[in-house]
Amino acid sequence: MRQHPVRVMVTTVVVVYGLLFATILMGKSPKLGLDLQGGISVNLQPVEKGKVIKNVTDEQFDQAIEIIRRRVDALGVAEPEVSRQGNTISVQLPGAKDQAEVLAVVGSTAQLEFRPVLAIVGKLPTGKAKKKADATVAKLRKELAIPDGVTTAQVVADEQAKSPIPATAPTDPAAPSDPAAAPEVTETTVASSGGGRSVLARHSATQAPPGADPVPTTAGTAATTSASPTTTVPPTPLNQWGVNVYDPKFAELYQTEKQLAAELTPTDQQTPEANVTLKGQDGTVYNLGPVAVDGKAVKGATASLGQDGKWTVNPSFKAGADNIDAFNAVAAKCYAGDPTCPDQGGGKGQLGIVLDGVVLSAPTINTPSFKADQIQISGSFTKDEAESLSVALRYGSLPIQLEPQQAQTISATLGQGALQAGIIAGLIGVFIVLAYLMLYYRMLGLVTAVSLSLSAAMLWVIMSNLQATVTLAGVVGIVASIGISLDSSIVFYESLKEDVRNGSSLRSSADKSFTAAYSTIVKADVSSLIGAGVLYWLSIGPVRGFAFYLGVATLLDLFTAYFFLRPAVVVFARSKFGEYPKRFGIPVDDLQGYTDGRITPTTAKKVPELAGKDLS
Amino acid sequence: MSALSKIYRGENDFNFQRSWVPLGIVSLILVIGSIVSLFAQGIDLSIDFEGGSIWEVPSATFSVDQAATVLDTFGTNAGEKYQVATTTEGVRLVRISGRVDNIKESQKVVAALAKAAKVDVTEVAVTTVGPSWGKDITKSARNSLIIFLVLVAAYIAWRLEPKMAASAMVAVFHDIIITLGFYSVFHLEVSPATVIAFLTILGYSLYDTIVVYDRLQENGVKLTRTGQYTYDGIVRRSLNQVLMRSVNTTTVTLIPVLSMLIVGKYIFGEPTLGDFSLALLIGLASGAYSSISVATPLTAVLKEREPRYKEIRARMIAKGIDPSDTAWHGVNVTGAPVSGSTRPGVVRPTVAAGSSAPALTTTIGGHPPRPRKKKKT
Repeated sequence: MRQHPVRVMVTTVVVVYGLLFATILMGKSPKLGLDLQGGISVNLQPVEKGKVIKNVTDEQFDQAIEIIRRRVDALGVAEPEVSRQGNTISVQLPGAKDQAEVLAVVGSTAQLEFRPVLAIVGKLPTGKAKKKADATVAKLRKELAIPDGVTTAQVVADEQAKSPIPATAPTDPAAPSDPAAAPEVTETTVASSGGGRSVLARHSATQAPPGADPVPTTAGTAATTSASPTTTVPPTPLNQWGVNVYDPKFAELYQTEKQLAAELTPTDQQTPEANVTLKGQDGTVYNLGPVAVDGKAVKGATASLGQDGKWTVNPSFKAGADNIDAFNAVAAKCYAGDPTCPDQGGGKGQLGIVLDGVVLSAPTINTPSFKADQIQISGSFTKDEAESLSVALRYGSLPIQLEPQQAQTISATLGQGALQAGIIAGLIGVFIVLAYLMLYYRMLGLVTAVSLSLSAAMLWVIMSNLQATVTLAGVVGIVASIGISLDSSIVFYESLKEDVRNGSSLRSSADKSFTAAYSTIVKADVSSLIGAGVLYWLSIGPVRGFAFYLGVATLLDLFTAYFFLRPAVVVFARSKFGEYPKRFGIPVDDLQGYTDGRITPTTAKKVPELAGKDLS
Repeated sequence: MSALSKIYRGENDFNFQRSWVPLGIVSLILVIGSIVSLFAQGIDLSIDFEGGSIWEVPSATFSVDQAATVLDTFGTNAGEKYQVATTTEGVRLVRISGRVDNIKESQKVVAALAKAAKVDVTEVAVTTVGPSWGKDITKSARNSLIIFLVLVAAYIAWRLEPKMAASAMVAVFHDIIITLGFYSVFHLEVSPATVIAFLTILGYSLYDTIVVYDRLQENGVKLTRTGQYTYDGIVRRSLNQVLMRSVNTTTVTLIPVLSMLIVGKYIFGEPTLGDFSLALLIGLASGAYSSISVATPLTAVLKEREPRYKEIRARMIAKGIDPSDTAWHGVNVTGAPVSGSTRPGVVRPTVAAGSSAPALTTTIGGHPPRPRKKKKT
């Protein structure tokens, strides 16, 4: 592309600073690494019988990372980072302080379990729905003037104590039939409520009839039944809090609060023998019975596209009493709607697939007995859902045991001190270096200063937008790359100087020298890039951070050299300064063709025709 | 004209070859010394490589003896180094490092230390590295280093020349061994920070070498054709041409690093920055040195054996020109060495050569006329 140098130079400057200001205006800034911010970092590796193992598949790693991420989210750390580095899972928790707690949370092995569903007790809103529910609660509480610290559950309990009424338990007939409404049932095998989950979810979220508890009530859910009376009691005077419990708004608030407050069983109480209350991936809360089949019974699982064009998951079980036989035993009970796996609609029970305390799916059992390799979970799965469920089943069949290999607590003050020192040291260094270059190369030193500021601006933009983490090693990588950025200027200027000393005019040689110098710069930079790339892919820990910044800074060097350094020097060389090579740090007093350090008229005549040439 | 002024004008023509043998001997001594030291006393690796723990207890009163008493209950090597440090915020810290490489055990130490120092458990900062993690770090660093070197060697061989690649690798090993030797001789601890610094150095060293090689190759093509220069002569010319660039680059790279060492370590007292900078400093110096006095001479030795250059040498001797005179005397298109360049406006001073051949007596020895020569203002 042939472009006028002034245009290239101005465009580069405008674009780079424009990006910088846009980034600043958007309020984006780089993330400080743990070593600069303080917090806890843990590196986990898969072990077997106390020894680190290498033969862990990518799939298992990804699943393990997902599980750890979920657990870490529960810790309430602001910006946790869980990533894989080679054979290692690195967990970075900025701001965390209690190492023992973190180790306990991330270090335990995730288990896959099959537990019969006792009841579906509600739905925890997730994402946007959660925010909406929170807002509704706040609004309704204000409208009903319920004092802070008093829950609607307390009000209801109080009300019930005053006028106990036989629980009529109005079961919403629509709810239990929902799973059946899901597109699923297949003849040969298990049909599931993959879609049932979502239908149910929609139902409870949109349910409006005040007080009508939409949750299917069963023997296991005393809480649900006791809650119902609120709607059936005839109007009575206000209670001690001055709250009218018969107001439809109260009913709505009660339902919403109950949804939000659904109590899940804490991790340490999720023993195989106990009944547990767990959350599904979409927020549905299940009451589940004791573990019926252990995840180790699973031999494998695949996701496939059924003949009806729907995605299904096909788990297969190992043979033996603990495996397929145990599965069939519970399947028979669920099929029959036995109290241990009660009817969830259509006379059949559901079997919950639980991985690490999260219900992945709860398919309805549509066959009393299965062959170990002819089980099919169907439902309105998307391809991704089906695949992720099969991955989870495979993972659960052979869970990897992760053990912390390195754990570190960094105090915030120490990190900030290092960052501050690094920045000050870097600035002082840059300042001295630029002063030196300006002394030596005069005007060209100035060009280098601007070019360095462009590199810095681009680096900031990239760091901010990639949300890359700046570690102390990264800071050192950046400081080290200053040398590389300056070197390309030096190589160029020395080449320019040599050409002028060899008799070319400054104006004509600026572009030519750049071409020669750039070829050297590219060769040298490529070796840096190879180094940065190899280190980034193969290293773990701080070396990676370093490599990332070295690589980015090297690329930026190539960029600024081409799009700023070259046009800027060409522009200066063609301006009237170009007649005084001394201002470019090039001594000409002993050369022919110069008078008083200025180009002599005969040589100068050539200039216009050369100056008219475009940059190629 | 002073040497500095000559360099500034790009008219330097130093006889680098003369210093190759003594420098080679110096390098050899340094390398042998380093290897001996590495075998005799090994290298002091931080816990990150071998497994262990570092505990930091913030307390104004907790003493090292108290800490030692606590650590003694956990076994003989549980606490090895005890240090009292003060952070930039003025918080007094007792820093203990030792060989507890089990995370659970280390947590117990934290609890015991917190109890003894009467601080909260969460205030005690702890870093624990399991033994296999340390091995992994070491292994990944070593693997990436090897792959890096192989790739760069392949790249140099492809873009420049295989002989240059081989010499560059020798120079890199020279730098690695000397830097490691420095750490071994002075019992400095090698931490992951040091490894990073180390990798930077390799980058710089190669970068420097490539800049020299690029010029060498360019000159090689240009000057070999004239048949007036031996490879040694081409090397000398190239080194002189890139000298100023090398000096400037080394200066501008060293300044930020020195600034980090001085400001970071001695003013702010940040040990990590100090670790980085010291290794960088030694390596940078070694890298700048090795690209000129290890990589280039080796290339010259290897290339001079090529039949092409043997032939040039033989022809020069036949013409009565001394091939050991590597001084720059311009290029004459007609084939006879003359002083100065054929291009107008260019004057190349000829530096008196160590030995002068009869054929050159007319041009060597006297400086060529210089049209205008003014004192540098």
